[in-house]
Amino acid sequence: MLNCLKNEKLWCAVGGAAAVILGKKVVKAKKTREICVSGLAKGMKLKADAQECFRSMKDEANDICCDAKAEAGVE
Amino acid sequence: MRYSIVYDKPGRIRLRCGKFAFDKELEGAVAEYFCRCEAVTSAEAHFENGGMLICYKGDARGRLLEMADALDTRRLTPVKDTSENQLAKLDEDFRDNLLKHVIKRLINRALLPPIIGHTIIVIRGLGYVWRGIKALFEDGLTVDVLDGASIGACLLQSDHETAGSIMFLLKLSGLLEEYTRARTRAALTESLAVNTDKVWLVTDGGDVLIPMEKLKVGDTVRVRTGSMIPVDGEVTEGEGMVNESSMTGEPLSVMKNAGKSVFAGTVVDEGSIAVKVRALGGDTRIDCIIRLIDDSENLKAGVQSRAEQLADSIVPFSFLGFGLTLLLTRDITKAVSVLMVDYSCAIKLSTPISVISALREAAEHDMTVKGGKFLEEFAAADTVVFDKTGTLTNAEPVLEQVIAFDSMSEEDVLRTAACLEEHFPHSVAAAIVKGAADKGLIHEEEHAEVEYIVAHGIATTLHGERAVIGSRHFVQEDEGVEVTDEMQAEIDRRAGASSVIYLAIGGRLKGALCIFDPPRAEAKKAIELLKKSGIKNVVMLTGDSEKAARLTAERLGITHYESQVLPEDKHAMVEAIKLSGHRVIMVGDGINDAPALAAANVSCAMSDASDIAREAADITLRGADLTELAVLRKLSVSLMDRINANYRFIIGFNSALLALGLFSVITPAASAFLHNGSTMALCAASMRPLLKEDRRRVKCTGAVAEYA
Repeated sequence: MLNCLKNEKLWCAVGGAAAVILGKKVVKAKKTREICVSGLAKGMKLKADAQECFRSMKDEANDICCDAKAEAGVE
Repeated sequence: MRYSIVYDKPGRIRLRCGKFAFDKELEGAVAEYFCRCEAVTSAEAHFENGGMLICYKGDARGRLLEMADALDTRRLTPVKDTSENQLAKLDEDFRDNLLKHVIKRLINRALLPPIIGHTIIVIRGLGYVWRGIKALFEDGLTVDVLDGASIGACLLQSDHETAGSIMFLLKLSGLLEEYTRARTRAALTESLAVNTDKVWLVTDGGDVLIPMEKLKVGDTVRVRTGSMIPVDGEVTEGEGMVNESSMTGEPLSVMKNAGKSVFAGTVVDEGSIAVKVRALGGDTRIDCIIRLIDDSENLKAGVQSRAEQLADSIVPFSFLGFGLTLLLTRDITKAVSVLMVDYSCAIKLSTPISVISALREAAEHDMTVKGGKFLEEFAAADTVVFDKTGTLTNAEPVLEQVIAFDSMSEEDVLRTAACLEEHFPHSVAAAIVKGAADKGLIHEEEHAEVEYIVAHGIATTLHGERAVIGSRHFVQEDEGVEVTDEMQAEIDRRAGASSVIYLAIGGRLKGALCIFDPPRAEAKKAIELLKKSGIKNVVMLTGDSEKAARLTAERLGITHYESQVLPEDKHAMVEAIKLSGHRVIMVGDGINDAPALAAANVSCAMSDASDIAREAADITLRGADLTELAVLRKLSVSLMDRINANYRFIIGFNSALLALGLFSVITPAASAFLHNGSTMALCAASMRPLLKEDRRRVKCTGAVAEYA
């Protein structure tokens, strides 16, 4: 009987089953959902921030270019 | 609205409200809001940072800031982008997407730990493999299968770098193809959108001609024989045979009477109907034509269809090469290098891109080509058949003289003729109507339903008597109206080289109208250019007299002409030329040209052509310049040259790569890179304009186009 407990494969199977049960609980847990939603929101905000930053940089570069053209008398 | 001023120079101000100030859909509406100020020359808005750039004239800064203060984006509704904006947006999106993909790839390679990078590549690669398997069961051995197999083989060999490169290059090729298609679609939409017409609005006081843009939903319009129905709607009165082939593909006309629905873009072959507007049809019609160009297998250039078939038929040989190499060399690396290099993907990508780019270029030069097939035919043609009136001659023939008989005054003859002719979109009819208008003659609608007899004339009932107007053949022979020798002598003496239209009421000749139709200024040059570009025969067909036809042919250098031609003869002549082994381009404008236009290998209608001719024609010129035909010839020949050059390059370059791979001179990764790189470069090169820069610059300045 005790030999049975020494069997590595058994422990692997038990561990796997426990991991599945625990994993299911974790996936379904309210906290997990909250973490995922807030993570996703942060990601989306980060994307919006990056877009804003990139657009502002582009605008400013455009303005500088426009000034340079005006100075050179192109426009 | 709260904002900050981030740039402020005279004539140019940039305001910024920060992100989330308005949605992407409202960008156009915000820009349009500022454009309402008459001092504003241009305005643009960007949702990412809530930025608004306004360029203005004079001292409008204060007013603009007041407008910005008052701006409430909740009250704005999304507006449809102008074509110009759409094109700019497409360009920008493509650039951004391209940059995004390149940066993503560089970051992935430089920063991600190999284990994560490889996992991402495997996950994405499995997507390609799955698509390949699906394609294998649904469509057989296609390029998708080859892509899936080569990526799968790399993954099996744990060659993640090569798999990543292939996927990256495939992605870029896809982006490029999508961009070209979208841009062509937008350019075509723009080219067709300006094609606004006038419509007959039914009112209590009779029918009134109004511009299309004034038409509203719920109005009723009258559509007569030969005209295109401009709107979607319901027939409220009258009946007519409507040709719906542009919508349904069904060539036979359908009877439409009260209560039936009709659609924009369809043509009334016979009869007259009043249509209550349900939806304004500009977009519907454009969508219809674009869909036609985009989807119809029949309209694809033969060369394009052949390329696609060829591309797919080469795939099994790639697999055969892979198998044989593996069998003979027992070296999977060498075998994979065969899969890495295939001819099909370059052929399949570069040919449609070349054709689509040429279509777009044609649209940019004011020519609407309804499919790549017609460019191919245009390049292969050796004979051009011109209709004379309205095509080779001036688009606006002028009324030179009115000859009155039988106690009717010249004014009355002209007034009656104008009244009958005004419903038909032909250049001669337009000349008579204009002649009456120039003399200040007002004509009430006193006649019954008018009947158009193709290429003969018009018949109706006026004050209880049969009134006919048209050619001598129609009036004298078909209608049995007596034209005495004295009358004919008088007409011959006064008409000179002009064409003559006869008017008879109650079986008696009441008058003759002499229409002078000078050749277009550029017609001679256009014919010379066409001859230089390899067109051997230039034929002119006309319903006019022998004298008028001969004078025009001599003046323009036409190799062959036929006068006094009836429409069925035009059609038969085109068929005869085709039977004698020539490939024919038919250029026409009138309803009477439609059968001949349909019979030719490729047909072309002028900008002022009747709807039925424009519908029947494969190519429509939106400018009134005949030299555009030579430009189109140049474009189509250059397109064929480009496609053939692409073929030669693809076969030469990829064969070299195959040989180098087989002899282990280069690795599969290098051959994949070179193969995909060359495919992309070829696609990019296929997008280059086919016409020379100087030709386009000349066009911008409005000077006569020079055929280089």
